[in-house]
This record gives sequence, structure tokens and C-alpha cells, in this order.
Amino acid sequence: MSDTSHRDTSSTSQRDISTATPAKAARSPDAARRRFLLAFGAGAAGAASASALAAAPAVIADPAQPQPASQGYRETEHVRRYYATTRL
Amino acid sequence: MSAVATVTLTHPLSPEDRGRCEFYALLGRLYSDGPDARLLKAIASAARMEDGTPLASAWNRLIDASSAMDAEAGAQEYTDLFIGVGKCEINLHGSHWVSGFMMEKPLVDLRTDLCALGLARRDDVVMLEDHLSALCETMRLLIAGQDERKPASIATQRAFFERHIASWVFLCCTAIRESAIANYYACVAELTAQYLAIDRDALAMD
Repeated sequence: MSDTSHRDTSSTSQRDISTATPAKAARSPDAARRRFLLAFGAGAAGAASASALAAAPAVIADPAQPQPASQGYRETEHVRRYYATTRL
Repeated sequence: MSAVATVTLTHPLSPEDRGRCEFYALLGRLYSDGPDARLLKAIASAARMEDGTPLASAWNRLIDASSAMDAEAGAQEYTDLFIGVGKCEINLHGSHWVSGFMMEKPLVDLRTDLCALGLARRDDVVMLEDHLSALCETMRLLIAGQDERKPASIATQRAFFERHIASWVFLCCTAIRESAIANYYACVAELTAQYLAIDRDALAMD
């Protein structure tokens, strides 16, 4: 477990998060959670392998398009692709 | 599904949340498709964890497995395990584990909750929202936020995790580990179980 790599990053981002997160009421559970995660290395592997990891193909996202007023049928890309597969 | 993009963080995150994001990103990627050569190489060359915890052992075993694995065998194993016509060896969808059937009420509940969180499946995607890969990605999004979206509160993360992941994922991981045809993914499942147990306990702290 590379403790040094935690501190490298924490100096910049840990400060930011304390001002950035709206959940400031629960300070001590957060500290306990932080110690717990770091003790078990859940932070360590991330820090150690930061460059190595790749994201999943994006499956879930903020709906990019505005929802149409009707909740009924929409011709989405998915639907278009389905119909494409049914063409003879 | 072969697209691989590096995670970019748009909101400042604490080191442990960054670690959580990266675990979820990695697990989401590994359950979405077999590992390609680039991913195997990246994992194989990642730093080992030397603190002797079960998570560290699982991580180190995955590093070893990744250096021994090639992409073709990885893709074959993924297909054999998780993809099948009619019935696959291991089903990665939450609804299957919770209700016994695909696309049952658990998926409806999940879609309702995603909608309340302002999230939805992309139009160009066929993977269901209750697929383990999609759930990992949702957790990553909740932790890290994205663009205008702020990181979700711990309470929100905990509610989502407990409602849609915790009840079945450990059974699923055990099934993968015990499957006769799992080799590389036995290591992935072990890491998943170890990591998610820690995240569950960390989220439960209040």
C-alpha cells in the first residue's frame, strides 16, 4: 500500500472536497469512512493504478436530449438499429 | 462495446473517492466485455498492493492473471460465462438474482430510481440498467459526478447501493468463482466481492 501516493493527491483535492460538498453536517462519519477506506486500501489501488484503468463504455448518462412531451413511442437510435436488423 | 476511454474527473475528489471511482470504472469495464489487450497490459503493469488484506491479495491475483491472459482467451471466457442464447452460465442482471427473472420488477424499481436521480440509459445502448457493468458505472457517476452533475451525497450513494446492488452481487460473485469454466473472471469476481464488501461497509458508516 503506497501511503505516499495518497498524500501527494490529498493535499490538493481533499481541501477542495471539504468546501465543494454540500454534505457538511456529517463530518465525523466522513472522517471515519475515509480512514476505513484507506486502511483497506480501497484508495490505494486507485491511486496506484490511476493511469491503468479505463472506463466502461458509457451506458448510463444524463439524458442528453430533452424529453419529448409525449411518453409514448420515440424513434430512438436503438429502435432504428432494431428495424435495421429486420430488413431483408 | 470495445470503446475504452480513460476516466476524466470534472469535480475535485478526495483520494478515497477517486479510488472508489477507479474500482467501479475498472469493474464496470471488466463486466461489460472481455478484457482487450490494452486493458490486460494496463492491469498487468499496475502497482501491487502490499498490505496483506484480502483486497490486496485479490488485486495482486488479478494483476498476475492479467499478465498471463491474452485478449482472445479473455473474450472467449467472457462469452462462455456471461453470454448465452436462452441461458447463460452466469447472469449478470440484478433482476435475475432478485426475482428469478430478467426484466422483472427490480428493473422497474431501478429505472424509477435512476429517473429520480436524473439518469437514464443512453439511446444507443442495449445493455440493461440492472447489468452489473451498468450498475458499477452508475455508482461511479454518483461518486464522481460529471460535467454539470455534482457528486451525489453519501446517503444517495448508500441508498442506491443497498437497493440495487448489495442484495445480489455477492451471490453472483460466488457463482462466478465457483463456476467450472471461470478462470480469469474468478479473479475478477474475487476482487469484486472484496471491494464491494468494503464499499458497502464504508457506505454504512453513519
